[in-house]
Amino acid sequence: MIDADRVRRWLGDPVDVASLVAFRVLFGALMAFNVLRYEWEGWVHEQWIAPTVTFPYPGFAWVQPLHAWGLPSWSMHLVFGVVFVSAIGIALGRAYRLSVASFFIAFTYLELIDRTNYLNHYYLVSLLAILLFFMPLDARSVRRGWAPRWVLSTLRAQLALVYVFAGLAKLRADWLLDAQPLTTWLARHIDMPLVGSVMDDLWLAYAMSWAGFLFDLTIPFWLLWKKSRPYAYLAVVGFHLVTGALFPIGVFPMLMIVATTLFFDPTWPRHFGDGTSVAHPSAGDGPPAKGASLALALWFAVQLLVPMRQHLYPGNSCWTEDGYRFAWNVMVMEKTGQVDFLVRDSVGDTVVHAREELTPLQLRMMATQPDMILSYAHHLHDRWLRDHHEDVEVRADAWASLNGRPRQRLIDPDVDLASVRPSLQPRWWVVPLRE
Amino acid sequence: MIRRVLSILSIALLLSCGEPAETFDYAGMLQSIGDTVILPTYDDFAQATSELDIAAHAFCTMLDEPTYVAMEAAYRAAKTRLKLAEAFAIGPHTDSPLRLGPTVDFWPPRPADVDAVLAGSDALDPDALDSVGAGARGFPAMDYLIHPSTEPSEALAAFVAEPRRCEYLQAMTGNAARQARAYVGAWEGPEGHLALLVSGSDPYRDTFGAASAMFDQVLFTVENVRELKIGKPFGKRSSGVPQPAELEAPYGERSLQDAIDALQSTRNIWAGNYEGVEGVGLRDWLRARRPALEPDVEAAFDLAFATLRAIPEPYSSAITDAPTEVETAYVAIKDLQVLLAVDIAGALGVTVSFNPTDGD
Repeated sequence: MIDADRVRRWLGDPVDVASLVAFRVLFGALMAFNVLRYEWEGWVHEQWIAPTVTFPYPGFAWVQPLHAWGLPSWSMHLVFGVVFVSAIGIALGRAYRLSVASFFIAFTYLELIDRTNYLNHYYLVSLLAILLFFMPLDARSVRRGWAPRWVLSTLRAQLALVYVFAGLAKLRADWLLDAQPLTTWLARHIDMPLVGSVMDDLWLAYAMSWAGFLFDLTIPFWLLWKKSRPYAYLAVVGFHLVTGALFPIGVFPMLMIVATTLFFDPTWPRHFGDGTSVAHPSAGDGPPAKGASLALALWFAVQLLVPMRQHLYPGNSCWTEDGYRFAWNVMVMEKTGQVDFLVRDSVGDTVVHAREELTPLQLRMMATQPDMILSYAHHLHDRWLRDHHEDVEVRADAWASLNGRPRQRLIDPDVDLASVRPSLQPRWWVVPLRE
Repeated sequence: MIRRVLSILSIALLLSCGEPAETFDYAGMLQSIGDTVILPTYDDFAQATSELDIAAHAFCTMLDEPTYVAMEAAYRAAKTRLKLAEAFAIGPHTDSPLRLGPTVDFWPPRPADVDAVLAGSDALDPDALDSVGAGARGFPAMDYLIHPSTEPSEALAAFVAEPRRCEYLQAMTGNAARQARAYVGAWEGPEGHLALLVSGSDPYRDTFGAASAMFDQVLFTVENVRELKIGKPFGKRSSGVPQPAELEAPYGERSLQDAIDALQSTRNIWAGNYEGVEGVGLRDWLRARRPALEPDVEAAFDLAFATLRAIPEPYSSAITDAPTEVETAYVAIKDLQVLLAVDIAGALGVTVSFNPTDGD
């Protein structure tokens, strides 16, 4: 039986704040760098300004780009500016709560505008921002030299959950028995210097699939164990650098390399200074309040349940994508697709190919994601009604291939998608995957 | 322990260096496509457009039916070469600063733009056309200008009756010939676009990205043939009501041939072949990845061509008089498109995309 009071006392114990400060600085700097990257690559325009149609999350249709509310389109660059300045504020620990709050609001606002732009690691960034907001990591607080243990433990646990769920997500026949999608992805690199000649060898895809699975599933525990920690961190660095070199995954490798330093002894940054540690009181501020403890418990309950919801649905979640997002399904599928829409009204049938309205990225994402196909069908239905058409029905002629399988129909072509309401129910209008 | 692991890694590295396995060479494929298909096609386009310019001048000097017929034939020959370049209409065709595409191939034609220039009094020469809108120059505008009638004698009469029409024609063909030479210049040489493709330099992420871009453009072209050249005039986007105004080249009745030529351009890149010269193409890439799919692609291409050629000319009539044949071709091209976009893209590891961003 767990002694709750003892746990609370343990969570209130002081720990050296040095590693937390290092994380805060590196996290803020990395997020600021990411803004510069997006501006440099022109992705702010491509992903937030160019689209004329967006795919907001259910319940967040009110979240629109600023230009949809009448502001000039360049104002989206200002939002990125807010993210940048806030990230610098986080790194410096200045106006800390304001910086974290504005960072979270601006960053999450950008992510909520369009499901097209969903990335697991950006979801993680938003979660970390929420946690940081409640943590005493501002410049003044950290001068004490210590922080309550719950701060460090919470961040470690959050990261551990990401890894473990990412490992569990690989517990699939495609990944372990067929070495997919790595077989497909690695073969892209067959012209790499030195290692290119083995990139389309099946043994390598299997080795990397199993290594990736075992790495994700167990790395938090190796990082926690003092004896294995140095080797584990070397593995972290190696793993993320290799995946970063092989796949276009942006700042994800750097984010994890930075974040996993939290598993080190909390005094580690002091080795780069004068080496002296800071004395801190044996009792700290005492155990966290019961309300705070309850909030933490609730947070982690949600963090456990949200990724697991995909298992409540029938079928392969990579195919139906029921409960697929926010579940740490990191790089577990290669899906290609093609979709046409057939709009039927009182006059006749019209084929709509979304290319003329969506950006290439939106089109690519929508073609394989059933909920986005449904959203676009509703958009077409509304557009037709606005143009005074009557008796409008929308059907999708959608085909997809998952992890090297022959193409299959993704959406039942007989279903009028305009009559299907988005819900949390299983997507009966998705044609089941033939294994 | 660490020493042992390092030893094994070193041996593995040495083995992999000393005995390279057979791998697919993206740069080699792109170089071959460039040398065998892209550069020769643009050379032929430049040559054919130059011959068109000469034929236009001959016609405007003689103003008789034989030279009109010769000029019209030269127009068709040059248009074929232009359409045979659609599957690689990337780089200088679409990107600034050159952005040559709209200057030679802005369609469907805009007769009002051409009529406005005809009715004007501005000087007409190849340089002057640089300042007119895309709808008033290039091959689609030429289609309208050359064909006031499909009957050569009636067309000739229009040129005789309206001398400015000939001035405009010579300006247009001269302008097109210059643009065609610009394509050649933009693609060849150490600074040319082919060099960027082969080296995987900016705007491409790497040679795989460049090969993917080539595949994307093939797919994009197949879709254009289905949707814009065949489907849209047929009424696929207008509740089944045919839209003759959406035809690509209606005045000279070349719309169907344009579609066939554009589809042929995709097959040229696919096979890596052009005018009987064989090279390495996307097909060889598929052979290296999943050879079992190759017969499916060849069969889909064959069916698409057969059904397109089964549509009776002219296409402007077929969209109302031969709906069954048009529908059959439309479906066949769509099947080819889906095969490429889903199965082949998956097999090649090409996530069909025109702007690579982050993923995870």
